[in-house]
Amino acid sequence: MTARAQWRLASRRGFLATSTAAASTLVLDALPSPARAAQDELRIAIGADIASADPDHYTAWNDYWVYGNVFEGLYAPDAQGNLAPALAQSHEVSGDGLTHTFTLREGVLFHNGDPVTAEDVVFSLKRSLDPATQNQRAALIGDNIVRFEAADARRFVVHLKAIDAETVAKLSLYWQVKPRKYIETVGDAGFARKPVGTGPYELLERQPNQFIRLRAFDRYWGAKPKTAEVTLRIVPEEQSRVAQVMAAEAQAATPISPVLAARLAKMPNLNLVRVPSLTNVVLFLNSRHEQLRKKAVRQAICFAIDKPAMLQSLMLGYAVPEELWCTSAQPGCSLDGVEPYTYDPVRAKRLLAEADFDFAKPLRFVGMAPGRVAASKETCEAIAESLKRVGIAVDLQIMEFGAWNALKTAKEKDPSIAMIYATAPDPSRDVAYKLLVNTRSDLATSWVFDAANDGMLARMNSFTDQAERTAFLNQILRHLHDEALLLPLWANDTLFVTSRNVVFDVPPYLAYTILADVALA
Amino acid sequence: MTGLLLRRAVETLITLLLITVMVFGLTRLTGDPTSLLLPPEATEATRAAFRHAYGLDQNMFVQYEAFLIHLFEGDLGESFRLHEPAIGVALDALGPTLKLACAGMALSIVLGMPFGIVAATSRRRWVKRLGRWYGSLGQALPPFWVGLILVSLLALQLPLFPTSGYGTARHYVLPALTLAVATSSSIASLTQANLEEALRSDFIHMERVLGLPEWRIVLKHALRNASLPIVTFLALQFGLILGGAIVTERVFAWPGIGQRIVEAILGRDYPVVQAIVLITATLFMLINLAADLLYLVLDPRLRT
Repeated sequence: MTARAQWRLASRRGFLATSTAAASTLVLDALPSPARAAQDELRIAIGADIASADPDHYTAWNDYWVYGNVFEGLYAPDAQGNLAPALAQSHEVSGDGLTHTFTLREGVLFHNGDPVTAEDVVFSLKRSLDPATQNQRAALIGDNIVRFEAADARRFVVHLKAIDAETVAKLSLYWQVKPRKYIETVGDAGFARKPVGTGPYELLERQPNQFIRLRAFDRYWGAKPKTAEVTLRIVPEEQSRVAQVMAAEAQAATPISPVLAARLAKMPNLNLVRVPSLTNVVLFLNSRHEQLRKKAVRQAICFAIDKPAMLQSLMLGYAVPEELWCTSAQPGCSLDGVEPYTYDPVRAKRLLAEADFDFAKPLRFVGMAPGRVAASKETCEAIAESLKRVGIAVDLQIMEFGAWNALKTAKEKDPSIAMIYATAPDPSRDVAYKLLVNTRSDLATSWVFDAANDGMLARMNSFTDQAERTAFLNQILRHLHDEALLLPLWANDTLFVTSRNVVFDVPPYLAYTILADVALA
Repeated sequence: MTGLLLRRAVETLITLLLITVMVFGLTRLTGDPTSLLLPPEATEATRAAFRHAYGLDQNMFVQYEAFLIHLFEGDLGESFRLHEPAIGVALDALGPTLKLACAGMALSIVLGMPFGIVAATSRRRWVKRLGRWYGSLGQALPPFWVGLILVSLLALQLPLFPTSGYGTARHYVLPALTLAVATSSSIASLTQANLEEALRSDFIHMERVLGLPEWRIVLKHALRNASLPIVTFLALQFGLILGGAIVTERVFAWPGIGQRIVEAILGRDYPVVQAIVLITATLFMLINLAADLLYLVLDPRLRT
C-alpha cells in the first residue's frame, strides 16, 4: 500500500481534521465579542500609562489624565482655560503681598464622603513638601513659602518670603488637595492603589499598562461631568489607537501625529479634533558659543529659517505659529511694534557678512530623535538645510531623548553646542513658569545666558497689579525676541481622532484634558 | 542525571552572576536618570536628594555590592518612576508575556509541525517547494507588519477579534498568530529538513521492509529522531519570545515585559531593567535545562 493510500485511510485523522475545524468555529462563536462601549461610557485610547495615581509622585504631564480629573487644587481652569475658584471659593492677599488667605468652598466632599477642611489642605501641603514623600515639584511649590496654617475649618493661610504672582497657580496646577484621614488610614501605598480626591471623576479601577476606569462623582460640588464613565486604555502604538476607534472599541484616541491626522481627516466616519496647546517648539541659540556671541549672527539664523513653510510641510498646519515665545491666548503676547523674523535669506547673508561670520567652521546643532515630539527630526533637518542655503555649515546631531535631555539639562553646558532644539510646554496660560525654567541662566534647564533677562525674571512675579505684570511679561518676551536669544517656531496642537458621536468641548491651551467636558452625542 | 543537574545549577548561577554585572554596568552607562525622571523645574538639590535616596551618589562598586546583598534577600530595589518594588513590576508584566508566549508557541507548533511533516513526507515537488517557501516567507515578514495586517483583516474588515488589548481569550488570537507566523515557519522548515533526512535512514528503510504502517514510521520513529534540533529550537524560541516580544506587545497593547522594559530603558529606571533582565535570564536558563532533560527522554543514548 502506498504512503498516500495509508494517509487517506487514516480515517481517524480525517475525522480529527473535520471536527477541529468545526470546534474552532464553535469556540470562536462562544467567545465573548470585543466589548462595545455602553451609551454612557467614553473610551479613550491614550499613548502611555501614568506613573502613579498619587499626585505627589508626578513625573510628566501625562499623569494629569488622573491628577487633573480626580484631584483638584485651590483653583482650577474654567471653560476658557483661566484659573477660577475650585476648592477655594475666594482668595485674599494682604497689602504687602506676602500673605494669601484662601476661604474653602462649603460642602465639598472627597470621593469617600469625607468633607474637605482646611486641615486637609494643611496636611496635603505638608505631605507634598516632606522630603520623605519625594515630590519632585516640592521646590517649585514650596520654596517661597515660609509657613502655612489652617486659620479655622474653612480658611487656609500661606505666608510667603517674597511676593509671587504665581502663588495661586502653584497651589492649583502643580499641587492637589488630598484626604488626611484616608491617607493616615490606608498609608501611602494604599492611597496610590486607590486614590481619593475631590474631582469630578473618581478612580474606580486601574490595571497598570492596561486601563484606568473613572466614574463621575455623584456628589461633586461643581457641574456634573458630561459622561458618566470614562475608560482610558493604554495603547502605545499610534496605529493601534486609531484601529480601536475604527473598530468602535474606543471613541477617541490621542496623541495622533500630523501625518496620520491628515489622512484621518479625510475619512468619513472619523472626526479629527485639534486642541491648541502650549507645547512650544523652540530653537535655543547659545549666546556663549564663540560664533553666536554676536546678535547679528543670531538674527541672521532667525531670518534664514522659513517657519511658515516648515509649519505647513512638516506639521501640515497642525500647530500655531509663534513670533514671540507665546500664543495669542497668553497674557503679554502682544506683537505691537515687534519686527518679525520673516524669511529673508538675503538679509541673513548680509548680516553674516557684516558680523564677519566664519563660514568655514560648522555650527554644532543638537536635535531630538523622533518619538516624543511630532516631526522633531524633520524640523531639525529642515533648519539645518535652511542654514546651509545661506552658507552656514551645520553639524546636526539627532539624539535619543534621554541623551538629548541629559545634554540639555547638564549643569555645565557644552560650549561647542551652538543651537539646541527643544520643547518647553507652558503648563498654564501664564508664560512666567516657562520663562523662568528655560531662560534664567543659573538654572541647569536654561540655554539663555543674558544678564538683562535674568534681572527681568527676578522682578517678574513681584507685581501685584495684573496689567502691569502683563506689560512686564511682554517686555521679557520682546527682549528674548529682539536679542534673538531663542527662536520660537510654533506651538503643537494636541490631536485627537474621534468617532462621530463624540463632542470635544475641552478648553484649549491647557497642559491636560478635562474629561468632564467631553460628551457622547 | 544528578551530576548533570548539579553541573547545570552551578553553570546557571555563574551565568546569572555575570548577567548581574553586565546589566548593572550597562544600565548605569546609559546616563543620569534624574534628567528623565525628574521634571525640568527640579532643582539641583532635589536631584542630589534623589540620587542620595537611591544610592546613586555612591561609586559603582559600592552600588553593585549593595545591589548583590539585596538581591540575595530577594529585593531588587524600587522602581524610580513607579515607586513600587521592581520585582513586583517585573512579575506583574511577566504573567501576560508568559501567557502570550505559551499561546504563540502552541499555535506555532500546531501550524508548523504538521506543515513540515506533510512537506517532508509528500512525494509532490510542489508541496516540498511550498514548504520551503513558507519556511522563508514567514521569517522574512516583519512582525510589526504582520500584526497590523492581521488587525486590518481580522479586526477591522472582518470584526472577528479585538484590535488590541488584553483580557479575554479573543484578545490572544491575533498577537499569538503574529508570533506564530515567524516561529511556525521556522518550525516547519526545521521539521521538513530533519524529517526528510531521518526518512532516508537505514532503519526507516528496514521498518518499511518489515511492513510497518507509514504513519507509524513517520510519527513514532522518524519524527522522534528528527526532533532533537526541533526541541532545541523551541526552547530557544520560547526564551526569545519571553525576552519580550516587544514589537508584538506594542502593536497589540499587550501589558507584558517587552513594553515594560522598553519604558524602563527609555526612562532610565534601572531597578526595573535589572529585575526584568534577571527574571527573564533565569527563566531562559530553566527552559534550556528543561530542554536538556527532554533530550534525555527522546534519545536514550544520551542517558549514558
